[in-house]
This record gives sequence, C-alpha cells and structure tokens, in this order.
Amino acid sequence: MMNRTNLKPQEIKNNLNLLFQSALKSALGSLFSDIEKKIFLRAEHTENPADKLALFNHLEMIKKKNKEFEEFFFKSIMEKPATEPEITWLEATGNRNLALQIEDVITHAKALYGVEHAQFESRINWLCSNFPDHFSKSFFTINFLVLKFLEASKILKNPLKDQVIRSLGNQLLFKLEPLYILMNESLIQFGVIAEIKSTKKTYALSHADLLIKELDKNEQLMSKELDESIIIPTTEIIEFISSCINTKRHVMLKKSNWTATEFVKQFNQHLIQSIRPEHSNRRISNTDLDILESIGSLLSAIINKSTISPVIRNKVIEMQSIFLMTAFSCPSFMNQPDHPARAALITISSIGTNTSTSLSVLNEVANKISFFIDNFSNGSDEDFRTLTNNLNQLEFKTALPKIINTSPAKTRDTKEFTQRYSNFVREIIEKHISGGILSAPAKEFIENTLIDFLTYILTRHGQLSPAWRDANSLISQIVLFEADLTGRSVDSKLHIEPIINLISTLENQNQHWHFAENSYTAAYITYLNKFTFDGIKLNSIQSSLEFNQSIPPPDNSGLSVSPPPNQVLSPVKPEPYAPIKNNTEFDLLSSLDTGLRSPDNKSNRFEKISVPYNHTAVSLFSTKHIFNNEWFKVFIAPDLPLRTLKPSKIDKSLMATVFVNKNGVSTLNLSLDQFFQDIFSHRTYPVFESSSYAHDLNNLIIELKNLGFTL
Amino acid sequence: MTFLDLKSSTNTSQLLYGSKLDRRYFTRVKLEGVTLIKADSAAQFVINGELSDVSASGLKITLDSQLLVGSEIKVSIFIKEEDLIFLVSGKILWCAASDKNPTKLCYDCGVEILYEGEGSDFHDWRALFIA
Repeated sequence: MMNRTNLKPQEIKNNLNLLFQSALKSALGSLFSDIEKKIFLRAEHTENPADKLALFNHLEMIKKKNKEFEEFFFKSIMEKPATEPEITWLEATGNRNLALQIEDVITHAKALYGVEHAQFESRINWLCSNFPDHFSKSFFTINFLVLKFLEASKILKNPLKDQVIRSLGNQLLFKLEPLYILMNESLIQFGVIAEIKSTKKTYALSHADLLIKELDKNEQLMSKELDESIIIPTTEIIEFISSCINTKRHVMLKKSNWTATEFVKQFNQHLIQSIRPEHSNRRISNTDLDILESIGSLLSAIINKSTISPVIRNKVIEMQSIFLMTAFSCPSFMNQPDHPARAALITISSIGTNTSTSLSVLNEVANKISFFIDNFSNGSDEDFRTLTNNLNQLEFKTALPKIINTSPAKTRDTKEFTQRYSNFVREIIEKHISGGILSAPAKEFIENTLIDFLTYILTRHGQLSPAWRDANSLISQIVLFEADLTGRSVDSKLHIEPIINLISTLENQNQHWHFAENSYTAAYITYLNKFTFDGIKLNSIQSSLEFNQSIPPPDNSGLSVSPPPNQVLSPVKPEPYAPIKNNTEFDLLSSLDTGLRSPDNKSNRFEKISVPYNHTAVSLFSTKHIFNNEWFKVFIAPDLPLRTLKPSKIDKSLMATVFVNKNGVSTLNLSLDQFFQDIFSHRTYPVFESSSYAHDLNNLIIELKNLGFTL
Repeated sequence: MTFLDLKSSTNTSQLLYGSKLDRRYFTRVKLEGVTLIKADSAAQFVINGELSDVSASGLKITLDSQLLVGSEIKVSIFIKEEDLIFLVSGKILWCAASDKNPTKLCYDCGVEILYEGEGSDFHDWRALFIA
C-alpha cells in the first residue's frame, strides 16, 4: 500500500497530535474541575478540622499541579520510546484495585467505540511498519493513552493521585469516540487506508440467524417468482409508511429504552399486520432492512442520549415515520450525510441536548416540530431546510448567560472601567512628573504607550502585580532621566540602560503587549540613542524597532474602518484565497461533538461562510489574539447581553466557533461568519483588550480591504 | 500604598476592624455561593463561609469566626449556579459583626483578591467579574 499523498510521516504524526491534544485538553480540564468539585464538597461537609485542612490542601495541590500534569502528559505522548516496554497495569499503578479498575474502563471504552479504535489501531500498525522511526505500534491507542496518563499522574501525590486515576474512565476514556473518528478520518485523508481485518462487530449468531444469513447469501440465486412471493416490495413498504403518516400513526416504538433492533422488530410486526393474511409469510428484503436498521440506529442515538430533554425526545420518537418515509423515498438520504433531513435531525439533537436551553425555548422547538409533523406530506428537502432554519433561529435565543449577565449592572461595557482606570493612571503619572518638564518624545511615549499599558495592567493584574511595579519604575526612571537632562549630567549607564532594560522586561513578560511594534516607543528609543555616546548596546528592542519603522503610529480611531454591524465582508473575486494546507490551528479545530455528523457534512445549521477565515492574515490574527485561551465579551444578539467566554476552536463541519467556560466545557456555538463580523465591528472583543490587539485588528481590516474585500 | 488606601477611612474605631466603605473599583454583584477559607487567624485552619457578593477585585463573605484584618488567606469559592470553583489568595480588608442572623453571632468580611501568576484562578476571576 502506498501513502498516496506522499505526506511526510512527521506531518501525519503532528496532525494526529493536534487532534489528540485538542480533545484531551478539554477532557483533562473537565476531569480536574470534576475532582475539584468533589473535594470541595467533601471539605465543606467535613467537621474534623484536620480532614478539612487536608482536603483544602488537596484543592491547592490540584490547582498547582494540573498544569504541570498536562505539560508532562502532552510532552510524553510525542516521545517515541526506543523499545516498547511490556508493562502490566499492576506494574504501572502499583495497586491491584486500581489495575483492575483500569482493565475494566479500557474494556468498557472498547465496548463503546471498539470498531473505531480497531480501525485506528490497524492504521497505526500500518504506519508503524512503514515508518518505524516515527510511529510506535501503540501510538495514540487507548492503552498508550492510559500508560502516559499513569506516568503523568506520578506528579501528584496520594490520595489525589488515585482519585485522578479513578476518574480516568468517566471523565476521559469514555468520551473519546469522536476523537478516534476524527483521527481515522484524518488518516484516510492522508492516504493511510490500511486493510482492516474486521470492521464489523461480531455477534454470536443463533441457529435461526445463521439460517437467515445463509438464505440471504443465496437470495440472488433464487428464482424471480420465488423472490417475489417472499420479499415485500419497497413500494409496499412506502405505501405502509405513507398510510401511517396520513392517519397520524407516527409511532412504531414508544419505549424509553429504544433500540434499533426493537424498532425494526416493531416495524416488521406493524407491516405484517397491515398486509393480507395470505401474504403474512413474506419478509422485508435485506436492503430495506438495512435502511430500517440505519434509521433505528440514527434515532436511538438521539433518543437514548442521557442529556436530551424529554420534550425533544418525545418529538424525535414522533418523527419515526417521517424519517422512514424520507429514507425510503429519497435515495440520497442514506448516502449524503448533509442531506437536509439529517441536518434537521442533528439540529434537533443539538438543541435537545443543550443543557442551557430554557424550557420555554424547548417548548417552542417542540411546537415547531409538531407543526412540521402535522403538515408533512412528501418531505421535500426545502421543508427540512425550513425546519432547520426555524430551529436555528430559536436556538440562538437559548443559553442565556447566568453568571455574567443576570445582573443588569454586569451588562455594562468594560470600556467604562477602562476609562476610569485610565484616569486613575493619568493621576498617578502626573504625580510622578509633579510639574517637571518632559521632552516631546518622552511625553508622547508616556501618553500614547505607557498610559495604555498601565491601564491594561491595572485592569488585568491589579496593583500588586510585578508588571505594575515595573511600569511605575519605568515612569520614575524616565522622569529622573529628564530631570537630569536639564542639568546636563547624563550618564547613559545610570539613566538610559535601566529604561531600556525595563522596556525590554515589560515586553518579555507581557506577551499581549508589544512595545517594539509601537512607533512612539521607536521614537523614544531613537531619542535616547542620541545620548549613548559611550556605545551602549541597546538591546534587541532596537533592531525590532528598525524592522517596525514602517508601522504608522497607532490610530485611536482605527476601529472606525471596521464594518457597521449589519455589513458583511464579501469577496469581490470568486475564491481569491487558497485554503491554507495543514494550517495547524484550524486543523485541530475540528468538531469533537460529532454525534451523527460525517466528514462531508458541510451544510447544515449555519449559513455559508463569507468571511475568509482561512486566509493567512485572518488565521494569524486568530491564532495570536483569539484562540489563545483568552476571555472574550461575546456578542450573541442585539437583545441579549454580552457573554464572557473563551473562543476554543473552529468547528469546520458546522462552520462555527466553539466557546468554552472556565472548566473548558463547550457552552456556545456561533456561526463563523457572525463571530468574525462581530470581531471586525468590535461588538465582540477581548475582556483584557490590549493596544496590540486593536492595532493588529486594524491592520487586518486594512489588509482585507486591500485584497478586495468590501467592508 | 495601594490605590485602595487612597480612599480608606481614617476613623480609628473602624480601623480595628478595617473600613466597610465600598472601595472596590469594579461593580459588585450579588451571587450565591459557598466558600472555604484557609486562614491562620481563624480558630480552625479551614472554615466554611457564605458568599454575599463579588467583584473583579474582591468578595464579601459571611463566617462564623472572626478573621484578623490584614491577614492573608486562601479562599476557594464554589458558585453553585454555574458549577464553577475558584481558588484565589486574598487579604482581609475589614471584618465586622454581621446583622444577617440575629440569633447567631457571625461576621461579614471584605476580602481583596491578591494577584498571583500561577496556581490560582486570579485571571479567570478577574475576567469573569470585571463588568
């Protein structure tokens, strides 16, 4: 077998690693927050002071060590051992009970998504045999993951360590089915299509099943007459479903424990009852059985979701006949994952399982579905699209923020605080200067750069932070230098070097702030440079300043070029930008909550994208300023308050930006188009906004305009 | 001297327990929650508390024990409604008898949240409660 795209193994490995890290980071976040919560509740209800203290210490330890744990874990997964040690779980844990528990959770995980995992294992085996320098036999398999997890857990001390290991199953392993689906898809796209010995679950077949199977095998060999007398024609099945819809008999199976097998059985019974007694020995063909089973599986996956609202579950149950009719009458339903009916089902599932959806919205959704069922005739694609659009409109009303937005006072724009803090900073600076005279470059540097920086530090870190102290020292040094300058007693070592060093320190310690990209800083350093007769080497800042000389001074009105809220960026030329191949940020941003989706599912809930999010400039801006674990004030709708969330990733299948809360739990999806429009129009903005963000955003808008996008 | 000190009260009797003046620059929000406070100055090392209100720079808690003004504490806050737990360092700015429960002596305490680079939820807290 060939690697059809001739991709380098390191690239395959990096791609898998990005998918793996994206999924695992979120899962580890929820694992640690779950443990924190358990410890907190135990501590709260413990009377014994010593136990209470011990539990509080565990809380502190987990907060201190979880980052270290993650770093160790993600570092170790990329290292390929020289030899793969044969290690038992008992050796890995040193605890018989834990070893047994690990065996159990692995078995359970494989029972949940064994097929996907087996396919992945098979592909990794192929990669291992073809690229032994890059891949080990167990790379990213469940066993590999558990082993690395156990190694990382050594960072923690008991009993915390054991508690973390015990949470491995529920909080991590059992959630990884989407990851293995995505990794398989990724490998297939890279051309790694290894032969898989068994991709289907094997069942112990009864004698009757074996007999039916044997009959199926020989089905084609049977005479046409015999065939016609045994098999129920598809047209007859369609007629039966149609009669069910017309008579409003939508439900085949009502049970709460809904299974595909039971559904097919019930359907069969209803169908047989509906036909004449002399034909009661007939049966459904295998092809039609496949369709029935698929619909059964599709519906049972949603109906049996533990998080689905009962209101929506009942509506999905009522839609049995509708989806059966669509599947039998429209051949593309089974072949196209983005078929409008399937997209509608995904939307219903998404709304039904969204825990933040209010009951009133759920009832509205249920009403829309009831209306759709009542008026269902032939099930055109357009009908399903209308349903999806209606439901999406309702969904945007959901997930009302609680913590940040319940209080009217909290809906106020943070700019009010920025202004207040800016005034406070000005007061402090005036105190520093206290009537002294500053040169023009120093004055401009302070007014146009340092005031913004101090305001930013005060808002973000407070007055107790080292950055605040350093920035205040910088102002003192500048004032001291200017005072000495009037007396012409300049000592570059004494006066200039500390200033340069402080600017450098602030630049290095605050990744969100880029002094070197600021022309006022450049002008000030050039000004200082005039006094460095003894050849002080102004550090790297100067070289970077030279590089950035062409950058115009920050324009406070820069955001005015951003589009008005109702305008959309639209390309003048068709497809002017080639997608970025292997753009790591966006590759890892694929959906992990796939549910029923397939890799080709590109349509569905959100409208087609019009913002060029794949363009290099947008991608770079997003990586630097948006998907960097920063908090954002997120605009949702004009009548809803802003929400404070972290943009986590882009779900390419939904063309949506996924937002997470503090625990890393996905809480909101917004269409990419809306999100980028809101970023450009500054309706959505970082909580701790820096001037470099505004500067880069301004540049991005200008660049997009120059490239032909009309704003 | 921090900017909070600029507005601090000079009333001597109040200084014993700190001043209850609202000196927070950020908006206070009433929020239900429970807290665990680790303090050297308490009768027990770790005590339970009830959250009264929060802002980006501080919080007000109600406790059964009195805490020493100026002492540093570690506080873990569980906001039930949102299922979020925070762990931050703080400093007791004031502590006074509470009028919340007339049948039982308890204390209201104002806590300033202290900056910490790592090992705390300082940044998350700041971001979430800045408005």
